[in-house]
Amino acid sequence: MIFDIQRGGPSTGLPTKTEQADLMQALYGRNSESPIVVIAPCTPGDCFYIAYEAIRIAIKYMVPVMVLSDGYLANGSEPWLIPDVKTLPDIPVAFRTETEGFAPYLRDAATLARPWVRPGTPGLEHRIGGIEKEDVTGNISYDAENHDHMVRTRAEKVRRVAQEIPPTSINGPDSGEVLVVGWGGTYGAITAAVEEAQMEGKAVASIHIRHLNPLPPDLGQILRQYRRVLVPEINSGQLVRCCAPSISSTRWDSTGSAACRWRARKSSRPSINFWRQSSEHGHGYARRDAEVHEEGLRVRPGRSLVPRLRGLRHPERGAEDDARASASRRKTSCSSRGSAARAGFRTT
Amino acid sequence: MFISGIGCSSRFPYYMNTYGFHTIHGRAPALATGLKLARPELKVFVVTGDGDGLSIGGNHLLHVLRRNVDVTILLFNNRIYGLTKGQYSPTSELGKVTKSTPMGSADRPLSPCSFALAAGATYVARTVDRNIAHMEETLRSASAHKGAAFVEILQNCNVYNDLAWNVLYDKESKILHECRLEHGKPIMFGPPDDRRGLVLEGVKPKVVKVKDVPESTLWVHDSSDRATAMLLAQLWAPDYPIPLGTLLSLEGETTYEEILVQQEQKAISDRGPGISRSSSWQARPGRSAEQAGR
Repeated sequence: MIFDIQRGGPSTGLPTKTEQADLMQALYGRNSESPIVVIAPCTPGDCFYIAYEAIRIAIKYMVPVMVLSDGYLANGSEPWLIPDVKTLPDIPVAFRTETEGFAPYLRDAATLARPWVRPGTPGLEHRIGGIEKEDVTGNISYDAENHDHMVRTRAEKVRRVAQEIPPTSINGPDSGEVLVVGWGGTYGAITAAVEEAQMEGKAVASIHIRHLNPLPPDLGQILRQYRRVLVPEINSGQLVRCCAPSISSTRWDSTGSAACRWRARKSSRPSINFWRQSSEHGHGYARRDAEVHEEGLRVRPGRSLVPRLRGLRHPERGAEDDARASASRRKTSCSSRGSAARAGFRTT
Repeated sequence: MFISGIGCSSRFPYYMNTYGFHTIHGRAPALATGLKLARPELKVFVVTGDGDGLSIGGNHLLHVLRRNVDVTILLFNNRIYGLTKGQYSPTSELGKVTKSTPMGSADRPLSPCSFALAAGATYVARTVDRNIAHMEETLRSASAHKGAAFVEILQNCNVYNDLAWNVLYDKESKILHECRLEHGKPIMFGPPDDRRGLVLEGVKPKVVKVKDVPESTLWVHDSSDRATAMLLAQLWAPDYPIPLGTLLSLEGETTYEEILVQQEQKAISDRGPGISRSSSWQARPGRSAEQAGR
């Protein structure tokens, strides 16, 4: 189990400030092809349950699990009802003692986990370690075909963790104009912003992803219910690179259209002109295709999203609404950067 | 249970018909510590080498020793990185020409026994691969020790560093320098007809001919004394003998896992199992809603 409390980097970077920039490293930052399960808590209180979930998955699937917390969660607090330990779900472990037919790399049919053997159990002596093993026997093997098989088996084991993920809960209408997709410590900021936008009558919903690898199986379906997908992250756009291909392939299967686009954009401050720009682009799309927008939000959680969503332009409203949006835009400190941001967008 | 890092030494678990973890480079002590905390009843060996234990995992080795985790650590010291085909290691001699030091190593070699003693190991011994009887005796003694036991095994690499310890392999040199330590007995070495001993002048060891001095002045080995063990660990040929055997063995020292298991039990008996509620308060939904409304 690895707990990564993310901070601004690289290196010592911003040692006491938050960032969500370790996602790619968590997903891919190892030698060879070695996927692991990656999950992220969304509130300080959720850190307890995510740790519990990490242990549950690690034991059931016999797989490394990385928890991506961040400085905002680690330094944050909220009222949290201490659970009665008895009410927590069991984490069953079946230790093998049966020697007949034992092999250290036998696998459970459902989870592909190897048998749990407590060291010291008589008759089940075996050796494990980082050097490649032959499947089933656990003998050291440099055989190319076995290695390929093992790489695929390990990846499949992680993929199967998806069957543990509950249906994604959607904050707001289950289809509409905009879906905001978040993960980690931005939960509070995103939820507040989305609810505020909803109170203004906008067709906005949000989901918060706790399981980052594998992603929730219903994610592709949910993303396709919205015309646009906004992925605000405290990085230069990392989750978006995982989500975009996932809905791209989904749509490809179902409609045959390469629907998803995303833009690389680095910004130290949010720009309220973002939506205006993207809706101009959106005119070219007659179909109700999802667009995934990448946002680099290096700002304090809780401050970033509200002005952005206020500036959201409703496609079915006219100039009146645009005027209102720009009026609200002028009230924010970001308005003077509007043209620069627009120019920035056109170049990407 | 045998836990190893990476290197030729660390293939060891595969040669044993028991449980083995072939772990990550230098990190065997960390895994051994974890296992010992979870399963204090297991007998745990750590197998490492001069590169794995003193370079890549020098930090981990330091801490497993100072914490006195009840593990037996075997450090195979062949003065070379053999698995990667012959690069200089932390114990390679100054000036040694290897593939990675074509003009000779500029690094001064480390003494593994001095390292272990300085780190606070409660048992430190040295043995040599060509003396199987002595090695067996040393390993038995080390594995019987309660606490972190460290054994340096001087070992040859016949491919990439042949005659690594020729000072103890060569017949003449061996007779001159090999010194078997025995607790409570004077430290003696050298050929049978010309035995040498050590006397301490202040804190400085001096080689003397046994027949020239009264036996009562000879340095008597006390394996329960860390200070003299550190002196012994520094001795080497050609000026001094090469001590083999148990340099230090401290009995009755509390182990790391004993302390932690006690703490865990105390915490459970004082506060009960589960999550402590002693410094918590409960937020009542009704009241917080009321506050929010204000």
